[in-house]
Amino acid sequence: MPEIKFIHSTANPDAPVAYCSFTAMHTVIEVLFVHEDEQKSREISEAVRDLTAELENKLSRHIASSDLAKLNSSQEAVEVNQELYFSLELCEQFRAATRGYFDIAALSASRHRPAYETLPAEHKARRCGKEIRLDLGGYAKGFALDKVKNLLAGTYGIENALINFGNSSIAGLGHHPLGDCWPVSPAKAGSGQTFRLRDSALSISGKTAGVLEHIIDPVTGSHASKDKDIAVQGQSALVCEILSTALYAAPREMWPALLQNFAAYKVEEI
Amino acid sequence: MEEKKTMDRRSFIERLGGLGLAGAAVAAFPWVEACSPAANKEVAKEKARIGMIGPGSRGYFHLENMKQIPQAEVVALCDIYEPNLQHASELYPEAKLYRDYRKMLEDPNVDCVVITTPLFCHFQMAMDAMDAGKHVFCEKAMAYNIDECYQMYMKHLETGKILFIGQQRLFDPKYLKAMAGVLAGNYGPVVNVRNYWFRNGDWRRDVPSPELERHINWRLYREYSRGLMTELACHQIQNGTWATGMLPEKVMGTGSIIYWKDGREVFDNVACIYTFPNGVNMTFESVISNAHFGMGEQILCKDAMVDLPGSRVYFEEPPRKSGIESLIAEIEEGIFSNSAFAGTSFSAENGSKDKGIAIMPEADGDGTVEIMEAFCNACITGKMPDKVLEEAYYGSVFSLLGDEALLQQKTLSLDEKYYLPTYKGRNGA
Repeated sequence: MPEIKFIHSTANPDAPVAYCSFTAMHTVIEVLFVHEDEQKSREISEAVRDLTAELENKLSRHIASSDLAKLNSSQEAVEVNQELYFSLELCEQFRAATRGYFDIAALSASRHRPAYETLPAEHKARRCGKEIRLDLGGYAKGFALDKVKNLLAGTYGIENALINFGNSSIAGLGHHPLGDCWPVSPAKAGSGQTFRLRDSALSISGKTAGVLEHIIDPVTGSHASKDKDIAVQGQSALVCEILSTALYAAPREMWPALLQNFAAYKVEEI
Repeated sequence: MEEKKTMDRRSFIERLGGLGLAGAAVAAFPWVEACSPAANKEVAKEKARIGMIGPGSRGYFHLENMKQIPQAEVVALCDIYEPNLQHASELYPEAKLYRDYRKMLEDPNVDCVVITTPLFCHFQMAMDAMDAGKHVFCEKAMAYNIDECYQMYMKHLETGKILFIGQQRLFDPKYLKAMAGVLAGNYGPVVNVRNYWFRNGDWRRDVPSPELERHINWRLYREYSRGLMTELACHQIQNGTWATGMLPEKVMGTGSIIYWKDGREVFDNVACIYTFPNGVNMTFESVISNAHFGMGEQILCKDAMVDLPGSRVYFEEPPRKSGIESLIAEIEEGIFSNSAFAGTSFSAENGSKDKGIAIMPEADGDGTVEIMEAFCNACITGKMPDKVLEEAYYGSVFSLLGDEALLQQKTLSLDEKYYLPTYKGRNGA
């Protein structure tokens, strides 16, 4: 299990604050929440870490023992865990809803779609071709972030928290103890925008400075490239993540068609 | 200028003390005691009377350094190349001049010799010197082939004469401090060692007359030199055995002449992989037709990368400034403001942009003066510092084995008979 950095402060007696961070899903995950004592805060932090690590084990293609890795290496139908099975079905729905621009098979050499099939009776999945490679990189953080949000609010009754998955997937539960939301701005100099998160999430997709483009246009199979990053704000962290990825990959003229199914989500270029 | 250098040297000794060279660390670097304040006190006012064989470029550099070492007295100089001999004589006009090193070895005023000649000469000169009762400091690489290295080591045991090889990194304070951290496990287990040395030049020296070509540019010809593996790799391979505490189990590699096709016989680019018994790999790469990457010696540990020449450590998880963490202080102070941290994803698979943490920011020098000082002290006391020769021996031997692997295009292991009876690495290989 990854080690947790944990801080608890009661310096402001009106707003005791807890903070934890750890490494998972190839990034740094941070959670800040208020109004809990130290012991409970530690327990919550460990629960968040455990949940995230568990999901990573289930959804990562980089872990050799994961069901997704097995699926990617097998020509046969593979029995998969509940989260992965659910995710595979959901991802196919999102692929259709985004006109193919969100596609977990985008890294594949083959453009054959659908790229996989799920077998409900056996709780199995099977790739439609040996060149198909499935990657939940543009999905798992949003999926896990929503799960963490539900854990905090549902299991522990936390009302106010800010959750950060690698700066690109962020969720605000409730509000800052001294304000009416969690105001978050892009780190990029001169952007001037502020996203007021209150029971909502934010996802940003784009090119990381100094790093090659990593988002694939699933329609052409080439690396997507845009001058600006795409930020999507809305209720579900998962939907924000899927939409920001799809919009970055898609040509601008396709945006209205993609967004017609997601009217409640706000899109900005930064 | 001289005063500053002397002060630097004092500060080196102080810094060694500052490294906390006690207990376990002394066991790791026992040789540094040879230039400790106690060792210097023991030899105060005594002199090591030095005869230098081959006062060319590297030799002249040592001669200049000896001016800073009170216990070093240069009494003789020897070279078959007259311009070098005369040049060195200007620095030490009182030194007796020789054209034949064997004559110099008969000089009873010479206690010890410093050999800075081409590689192929090291063996015979060192053997003759020890047989003549002289202590020896021999520049690296130790000798032209592995068997000669072994014979030199055994001659040292047989005669009891001091034998130093010019692996100055063993006395470089920044290397010592970095290695202390590696050996203490501060950065996690060693998982890889990367060495490289990139230059862009033909490696030639001016030749005043064509018949002197092979004499002056000896580094380029197989008869005299083992090329990049003995001239450059030797220093770096020694770092790997030092850091891991193990001796490589095997080496493979490839080399060729890709650019400097000027009649030279040694490779102008090489790449070697050494594998230690626990599976850890150590690489050495050298190209002398592109200098972009310069020189690097990097110990990759599970939790950090240690840059030896840069004296910096780069942690895998460096402290990050986080918008969320900074919120703690704001909430403590009753401040409500927006946090500017959102952006494209940080990926742990990206190369680190971390600027690292200095291990020894005040470090200067490279250990060349200190190793010579330690040699002088050892000559005066007759006490051979522990393990310094063994570390150097294996540095040379595994560089030579690497060159054999390049030539034979095979994966090679060191013949059992060349493992030293006194030291087989901390893994006892």
